[in-house]
Amino acid sequence: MAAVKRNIAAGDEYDIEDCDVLIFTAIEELEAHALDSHLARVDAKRVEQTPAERLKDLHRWKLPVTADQPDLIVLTRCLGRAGNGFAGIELSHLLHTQHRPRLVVFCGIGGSLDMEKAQLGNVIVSSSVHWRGFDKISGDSISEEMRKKSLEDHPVNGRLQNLISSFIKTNNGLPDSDAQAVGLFPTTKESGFRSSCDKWLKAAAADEDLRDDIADFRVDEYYDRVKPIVRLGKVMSWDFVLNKKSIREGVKKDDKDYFAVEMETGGMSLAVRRAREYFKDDAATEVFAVRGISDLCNKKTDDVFRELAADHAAAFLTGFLKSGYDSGF
Amino acid sequence: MNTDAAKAAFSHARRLSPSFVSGESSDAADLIVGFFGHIGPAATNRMLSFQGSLYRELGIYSKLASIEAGCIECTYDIGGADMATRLSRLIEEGRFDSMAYRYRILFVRFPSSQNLDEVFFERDSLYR
Repeated sequence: MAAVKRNIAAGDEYDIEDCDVLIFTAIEELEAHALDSHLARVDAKRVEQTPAERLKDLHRWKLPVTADQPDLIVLTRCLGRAGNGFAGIELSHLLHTQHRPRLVVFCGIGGSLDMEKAQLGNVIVSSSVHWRGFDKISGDSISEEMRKKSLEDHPVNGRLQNLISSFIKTNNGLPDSDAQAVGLFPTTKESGFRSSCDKWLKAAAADEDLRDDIADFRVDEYYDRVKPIVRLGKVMSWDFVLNKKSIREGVKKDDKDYFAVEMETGGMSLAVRRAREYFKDDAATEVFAVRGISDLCNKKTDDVFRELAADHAAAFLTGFLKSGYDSGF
Repeated sequence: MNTDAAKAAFSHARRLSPSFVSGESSDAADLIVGFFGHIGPAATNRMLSFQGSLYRELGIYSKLASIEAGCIECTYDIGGADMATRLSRLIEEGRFDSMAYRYRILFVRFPSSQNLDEVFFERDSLYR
């Protein structure tokens, strides 16, 4: 048996190294910034990118977990734009041209479809993702027609949901000083957050369109709070910024169990499902969404919660990866 | 499997993707692939992803039979001498090169086919 040498040095565009978890965000100054800050908070270290990773704007981190486990290798990518189409295509490209990570997550903000289940500032983790209405035509009646069109429902792996539930419970039970998921966004008396909230709440209470939506909202739950309020629930994904109450109520009638609406994880879930079908479940990639509730899908006057929502979503995700995640799920 | 890490990686692979991994006692290996890197869950994903691509891009279905630490050396059952000959020819034609690059493969050997050459894949960017 002879030994033959082959020179394969020209493949730089494929040179993306090992990765356990791939995290997408959409808004650079908000979601990506929060994620970077929280990765640093949990002692993750940036690692130099390969040329291909730089080209694809992928950022590489090593996240130390427990002492007897290897560091978790995390890649992050800020898409720089919203929408299921772009998120799905970019993820699909990576899944079909690279080795596949065990877990893909979208971490960012989203809108509430049910004020009892998902209040401003809460973090909703998807138990399943439903992609609906794959058309850009808006308006009440058209929207109803479009929502009837489904691009499949994507339940999140049950064992992964158990890990998430268990982490939420553990984190809630710990004092702030020991909790792994803690926010960095200031909500103390000295911070501007409280005065912004007061101002916004007064304006909203005087607005007929908004009054009912904030009736039971206890913003003081967030004062001096660092641990995010996290819930696991169904997420609807589509391709609109939902800012019309009548459509929100229509969506809620479609499925009373919806917690939140967002615009990326439907495409990402479909990309993962197609890759799993194509590659016969080789590396069995799973996907879920982490969404801080930044608005109530009514008139967009509640932007005061965007930073808190993005911060708490990233706080939860990084805390979970640090101490609640097990790649063997 | 020569270390606890290698055994854990093999168990992880079987749990993750049973259809691409042999049972404990498989000795039908006809392909050895040496991967650059350290054993761990992420590298195991790479071994399994390689198998998905091998199946889809070159039509060769494989079962992971063992993992050895060192450089990561994996043995695969790819279905016997005919498939080994086919893969050897595809490598010679350059059709395996992009896959070797993507999955950080250092070498390929065919232990059950003495007439087939072992192949070393050379690149600089592995050692950054």
